[in-house]
Amino acid sequence: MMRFIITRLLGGFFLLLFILLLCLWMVRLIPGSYDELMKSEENFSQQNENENANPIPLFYFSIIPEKKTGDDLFSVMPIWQWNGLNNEYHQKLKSYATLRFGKSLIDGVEVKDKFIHAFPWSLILQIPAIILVIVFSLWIALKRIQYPDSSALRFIDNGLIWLHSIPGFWLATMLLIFFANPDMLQWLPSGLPAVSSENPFTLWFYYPQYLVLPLLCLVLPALAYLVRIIKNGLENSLQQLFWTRALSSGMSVQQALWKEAMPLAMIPMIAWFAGIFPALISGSLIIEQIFSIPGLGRLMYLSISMRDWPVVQFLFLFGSALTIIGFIVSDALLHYVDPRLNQVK
Amino acid sequence: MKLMKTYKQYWAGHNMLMISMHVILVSLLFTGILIGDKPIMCKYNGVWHALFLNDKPADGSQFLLDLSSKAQYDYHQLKYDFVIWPMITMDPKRMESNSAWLAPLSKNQAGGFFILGSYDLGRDVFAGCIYGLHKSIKLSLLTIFISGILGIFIGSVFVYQSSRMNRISLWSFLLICLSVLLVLYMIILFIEWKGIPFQSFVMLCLILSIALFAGFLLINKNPMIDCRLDFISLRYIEIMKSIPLILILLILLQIFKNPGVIGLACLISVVYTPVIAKYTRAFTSSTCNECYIDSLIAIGQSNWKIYIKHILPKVLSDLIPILAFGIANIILLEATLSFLGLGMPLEEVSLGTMMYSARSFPAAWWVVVFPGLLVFWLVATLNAFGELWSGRKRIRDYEA
Repeated sequence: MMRFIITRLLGGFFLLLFILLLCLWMVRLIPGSYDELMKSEENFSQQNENENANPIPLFYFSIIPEKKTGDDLFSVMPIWQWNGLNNEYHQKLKSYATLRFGKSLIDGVEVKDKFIHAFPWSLILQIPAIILVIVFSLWIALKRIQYPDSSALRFIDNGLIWLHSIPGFWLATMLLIFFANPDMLQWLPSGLPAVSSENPFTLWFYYPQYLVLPLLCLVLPALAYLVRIIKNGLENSLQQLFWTRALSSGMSVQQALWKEAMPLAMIPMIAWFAGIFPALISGSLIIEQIFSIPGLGRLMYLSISMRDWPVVQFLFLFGSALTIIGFIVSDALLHYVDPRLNQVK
Repeated sequence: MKLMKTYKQYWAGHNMLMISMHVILVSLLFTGILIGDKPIMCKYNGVWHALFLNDKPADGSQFLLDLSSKAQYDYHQLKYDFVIWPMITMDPKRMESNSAWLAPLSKNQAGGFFILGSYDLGRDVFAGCIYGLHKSIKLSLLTIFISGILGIFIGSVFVYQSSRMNRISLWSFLLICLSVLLVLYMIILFIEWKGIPFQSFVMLCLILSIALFAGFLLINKNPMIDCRLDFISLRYIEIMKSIPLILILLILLQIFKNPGVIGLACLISVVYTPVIAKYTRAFTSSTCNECYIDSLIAIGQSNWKIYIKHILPKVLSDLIPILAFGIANIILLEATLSFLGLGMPLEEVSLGTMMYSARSFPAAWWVVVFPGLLVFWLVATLNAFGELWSGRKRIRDYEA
């Protein structure tokens, strides 16, 4: 088991090195820079300043030739060129290894500080959402299996299937329009501008009404998906022979459901579990944007549109690292839940 | 007749789903005929014009001349010898500057009604909904087509190679490596230069085809080595899976700003190809281990014949629910991107951009509710179709 985790971690580390290169390359391709954006806003006349005439090369070597204007047949032949250590990739690696992540171009704040400021905002939404999703989905699925004839449960089940198809951003906008709009019903406040300077962790105690709608938008679509996969998994395990054996051995139905049927039904749920780590950035991007919550997703969106490269590079790498960690954790959990995987070599 | 009966049997017990799927089909095929502001066909000054084929009348014709001089491009003001109008004469792009943000069922300037209200610059929500529906379906089908072809290729060819024909000659292995490197280099060049010069493209194609031809000649030459190309697809899927999908899309949309429908389809297919490749890989590797493939090899069928006649159809039939869910996901993704103001350009009418425009006027609930309901209906229908197909398949497999 230990060996499995170590090899996966090493593989993930090399993958991250490659993803850093990919990220640096993609960021280079985006036209325009923060300075240019500022200049066009302030209508500066001197646009021909050759600041970026000789940018440092991307990697240790380069093989892409300079673009020629002529339609020469051999103009696309690769040219090998050694760049030495003075390249962007090497410098980025060096600064990341010493935990220096650079400064934001917009306001000169350290990327680390920006991250530390935004991270709790994502956490206070995601952690309750994940706990609620898991608890509710297990409860609904188990009750649905135990009482298949209950009409209320069947209603909930059918409603969840419809809920799975609702676009998340649409749900958020509808909730805002109908429940946080002075023209319709103003039961809840719409955004966070009044309390965004508060400590996010105490927000749940003092101003929970600001977080109800975003939480609802995060929980409902995920709940629909998870209930369905757990219910299908349970129905599958009820048809297996071990279920009959468990009942005939004198277990109560409740006990047998948890001990015998659940591990098999958990397998698709664990695959879902891998996706909740990157959801810290990408999952709540739209919800944070709509409710103007200053979390990681909104930070990512704003810094891409403002061409704030140090922040984008760091968050890109962070998101990829979270995804890789999510896969490792879910694979380790799979080996724990399903011992058959350990026997097959 | 028998086909008709089977078709009816397929939908038995799913009437709502059948109606919904047919509405989607109709809106995909016939939106240009059902709705628009110009005639489908007309005879003007003794000359026939088929306007459903072109955006405007042919250059230099009397019709175009009169249209621009007499009628200011309003098709209704001309007198035709013969004309067929669309069933609903309204234009999603027509603007009435006085009647922006009107509630449903209020009057418009032409004397009719805004059935579902109007939004920014006085555009009609109802016309926009029908037009946007057509556009979403078109875009998602295009995307699933591109990513399906790429994903099925990447996911199935390499797996089949490594499970059934892993003994290849050293020379053809080297040529395959060369071709893969060339393709990668071409992709990088294409992105770096935003398109490559035509003659260079021809040269690269020439090199690739020579490599392929030589590979076929060298396929059974000594020395033979054990080579499994599966790792290419495995690494590809692993790398693409470990980057959050929406982050790649956000950056790609900044590189290629405001792509059209085809450009957006290509960009979304970049992030959707690995998803399809993943499923194709799983289905192919389970199909390759079936007994009937072994028996086909024992009979002496050639490898490519087995692949095309026996493995690909099985994999495709397994993939159909995945593709249906994929279409639904892509519709959602496009609407989300457009809602953020990134996907379609704002002048274009699509379901997402309509909802995006409502963010500047939150009191206009009708601009959000109706397009959103349409997206919901589309996604729910496609999900139900995928569910139905996979359920039927499960029963079929169980009975067999």
